[in-house]
Amino acid sequence: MNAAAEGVAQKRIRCGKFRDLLREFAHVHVRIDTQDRAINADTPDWMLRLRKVRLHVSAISECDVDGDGMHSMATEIRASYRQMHAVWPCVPAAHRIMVEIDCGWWDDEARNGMLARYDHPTPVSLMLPLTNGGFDEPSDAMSYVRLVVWLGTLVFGYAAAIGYLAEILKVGRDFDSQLTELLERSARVVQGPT
Amino acid sequence: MPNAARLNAPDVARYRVGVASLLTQSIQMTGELEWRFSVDGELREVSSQSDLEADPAIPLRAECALLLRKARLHSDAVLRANAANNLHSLAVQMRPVLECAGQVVFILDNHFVAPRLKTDPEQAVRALGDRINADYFDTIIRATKGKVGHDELLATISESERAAAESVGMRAPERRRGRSLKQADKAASLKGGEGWYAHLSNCFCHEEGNLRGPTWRGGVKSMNTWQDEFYFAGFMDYLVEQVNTMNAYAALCPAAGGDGQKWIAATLERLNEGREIAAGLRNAAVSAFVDVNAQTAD
Repeated sequence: MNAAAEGVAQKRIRCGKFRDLLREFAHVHVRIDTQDRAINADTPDWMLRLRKVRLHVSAISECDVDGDGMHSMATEIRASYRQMHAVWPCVPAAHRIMVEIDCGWWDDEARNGMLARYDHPTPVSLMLPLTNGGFDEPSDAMSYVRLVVWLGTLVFGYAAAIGYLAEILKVGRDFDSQLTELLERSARVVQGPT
Repeated sequence: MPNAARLNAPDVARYRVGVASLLTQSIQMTGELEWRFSVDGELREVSSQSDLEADPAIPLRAECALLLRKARLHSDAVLRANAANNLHSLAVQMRPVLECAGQVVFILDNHFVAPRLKTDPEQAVRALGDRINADYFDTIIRATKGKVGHDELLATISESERAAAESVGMRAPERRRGRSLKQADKAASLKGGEGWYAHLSNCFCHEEGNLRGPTWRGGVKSMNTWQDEFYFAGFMDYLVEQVNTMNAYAALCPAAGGDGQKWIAATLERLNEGREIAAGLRNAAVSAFVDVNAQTAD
């Protein structure tokens, strides 16, 4: 994928595909870790945090891919990254397919990256271009390059964590094949034309 | 444990539906005010000194319109989260709304209310100036990712102001003091704003939430019990009050058309009406809550 060379329309399509894939991953997740599954003292924290990620991912999947949608998505992406920061060290390297990021990346991006700018509005910050957390220049391609990267990283990070969860909970091959199929489609969003 | 089906759950459900409906109306009012501050839906660009002299309220209107727009779009997300039974999303989307509402209240209060009601109007002007400076410094420092330091920025601005003043034969302005703006400060103008801001930040936005605790404290064990229904309603109840307060203050901002009084009256009516309706719904739901406890004790 050469995201920088694409037009805004193509980038938005790519963002929309990642968003839709997140919805599908969330559906698989909720069937693996059902809401009525008993939570006891032995249940590791990362599984509960992954539930939080699912809730934010579900909210992302309700957003439009446009200027206003980017503002509300960024808030959810940031909240999910804060949880992924705690989930990621618990996911074995063997499961981290297609995501080569270290454990500090999620938190660093959430705290110090551009995401925080959408979460803490001020009159001056809102006058800036969309790409910097404001409302100006809503069709600037760079905003959607960032959104592609944020959503794409979340897709693969979340998929890796669900894959590991499925293994731990021994939920069976049916889920494995569904996750594999979704991962293949995610890879096509990265590699293929829109 | 009492069975949810035996409880007076309809009152709790009605409370939730009722405040969601109030929030929808409040958002609509926010959108109308936002439209009122713009020209044909677009913010007017200030291109010259004469523009400002002709209409000095342009910058104030632009600030309000931007904050209202941001508040509106996150409030819409709150409604979506409510419809999707997703308190975690509702909580994180609520936080920027509180920041916007707090800033609108702060700005308009110091522009119009405080100078008329406080004994020292200069204090209000100074508070506004400090806030604008802090916002400007923080935004630049963040935008440059710390490459431009606080002191360096202050020095550059002071030097530019001195040179500009000298060029027109004026005395150099007083050297600026840069103050930083804490995120929680933005919600501090709202009643209970700091407490709510801290709660939303700690339990939903950061990693400190009590994962195994109740949903309202960031827990993920349940999402659709009758208690959860109460939390959804309670969160939105607080938000409705803040959005209505924001709208009432925003209505003070002068806009073209000379219909200011009409908007002030309309937003105040909405604020009072919202309070009354929410209180009725809340009281009925809380009595259901108390009844539940009584049954539990049995």
